[in-house]
Amino acid sequence: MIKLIIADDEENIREGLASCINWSDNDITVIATTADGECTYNKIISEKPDVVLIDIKMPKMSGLQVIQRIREDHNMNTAFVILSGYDDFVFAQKALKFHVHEYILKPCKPEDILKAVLDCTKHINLNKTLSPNNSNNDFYTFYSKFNDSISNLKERTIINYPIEQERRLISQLQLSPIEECMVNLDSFLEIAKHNNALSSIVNCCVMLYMKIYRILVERGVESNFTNLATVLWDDVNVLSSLENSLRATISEAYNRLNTKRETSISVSNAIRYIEENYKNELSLEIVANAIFISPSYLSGLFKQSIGMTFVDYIHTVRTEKAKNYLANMSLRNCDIAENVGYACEKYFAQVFKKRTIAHRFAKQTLVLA
Amino acid sequence: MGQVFRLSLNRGNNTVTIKDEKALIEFYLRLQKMRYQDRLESSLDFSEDVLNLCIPKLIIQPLVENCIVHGAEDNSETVHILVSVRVNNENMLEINVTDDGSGIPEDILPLLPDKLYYSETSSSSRFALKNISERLKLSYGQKYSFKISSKPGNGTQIIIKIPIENLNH
Repeated sequence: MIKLIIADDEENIREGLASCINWSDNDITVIATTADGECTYNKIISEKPDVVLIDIKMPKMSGLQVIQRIREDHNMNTAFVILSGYDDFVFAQKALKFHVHEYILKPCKPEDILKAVLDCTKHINLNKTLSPNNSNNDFYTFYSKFNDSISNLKERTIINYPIEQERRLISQLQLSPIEECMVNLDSFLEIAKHNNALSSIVNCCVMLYMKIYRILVERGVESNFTNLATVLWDDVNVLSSLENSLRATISEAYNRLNTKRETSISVSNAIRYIEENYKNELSLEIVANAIFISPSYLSGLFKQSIGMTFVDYIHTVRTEKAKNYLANMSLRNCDIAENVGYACEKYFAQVFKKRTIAHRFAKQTLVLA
Repeated sequence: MGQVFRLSLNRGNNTVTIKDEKALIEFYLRLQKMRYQDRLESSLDFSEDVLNLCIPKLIIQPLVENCIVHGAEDNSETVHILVSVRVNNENMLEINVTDDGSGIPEDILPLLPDKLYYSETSSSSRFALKNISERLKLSYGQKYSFKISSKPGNGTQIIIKIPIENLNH
């Protein structure tokens, strides 16, 4: 059951929201409705709601101030959905800074509000199911089960570590067909087995595992990988099951590295160039020239491997950078625009709004019942 | 490849306490000492007040791994690794990984960590430094510093600094 607080200083909106939307069918309970900022703040502290639907303009303390105080002074995961009559860039900017889930513009449809709250609850449920498991199964605790096998090891040596095979395997994981990886894994195991003690062989495999995990972290595709490994690496004291565990681990790593992998080095060079030069003027021609390929080829590569156009990608990078700058409130918008490569502040605001408010903050037009 | 973009989408749950990273490094060093025996010596110096701070996963361990790759693997002399993590007097978290291994060649050093371009040989351990720097940039913007000093034959020192106020507990 998700706990919701509705905060709005207008009574008919507050009560309308509480009664017109079918919360209970969606496993949501309205635990309180509040009419001013101070009261809202106190209720959040005492009732610990999962989601707060909050107006910006309220007596005693504004909605944004409430959110700010909760974020800065309390370690709570409360999700906020702002319901506001203001289509104001500065408000949206602050909302972004305080990790507001959505920013809905009044007037709007009840189903959009419900949708926004449901979207919050998805995250909440996900976090609830993931967090206990994650802490148990994370890589940082996973490896510790091998600590014991190391301590008990009389022969504290690894005579043969297949370093060449390891190196080759790591590069194959990113460049070659899976069959070649498996052939190389066989030769890795072959050499590892030259060690006499089983625990030395286990340790070779653990080292390889650590190396693979690190590559996944570097590529940002490591989430929940260890959950799988914990299941797989349960019975490592039998050689055949150890080999199977490692094989399955490599196959999973291969899939993760390759489903999202670009086909071309050129794309990554282009990304690198954009990353380093986003402050300056950028065009398809400039980037293509810098990395020695033709503009039309680069344009095609981008769509194919990243799934967005070159121009979209540049706007995305700049918007991301702008968000970093926005966290620093002392900068003026025109400075931010210049820092992320937009000569015109107005154009920057337009692009930024389109990419953040339109995507993350639902903008609605119809009248609330 | 493309990881800048992807990582920025996945940002969030990629941190770990320094205490956990330290335990991982200890485990890793124990494994490596089975391989290199007395050719590998290490000392870890983590001050108490940093242990509960959170940093991105696998920021320090790959630096230690690099010391071994470019120290013990490449030559037959004993390599000494010193890892120290503390809060310095500028209120920055300071991670210092120093070794007396073979050092970084003079032609590569000026390119590190950020200026290497990915190529077919991107699995090379030099890219570990670039990747760490990229991941720090994603988490801390321009607010971190990453200094590499090295002399061929004399070893390498890497110092990463992150302002304390940017770290979560």
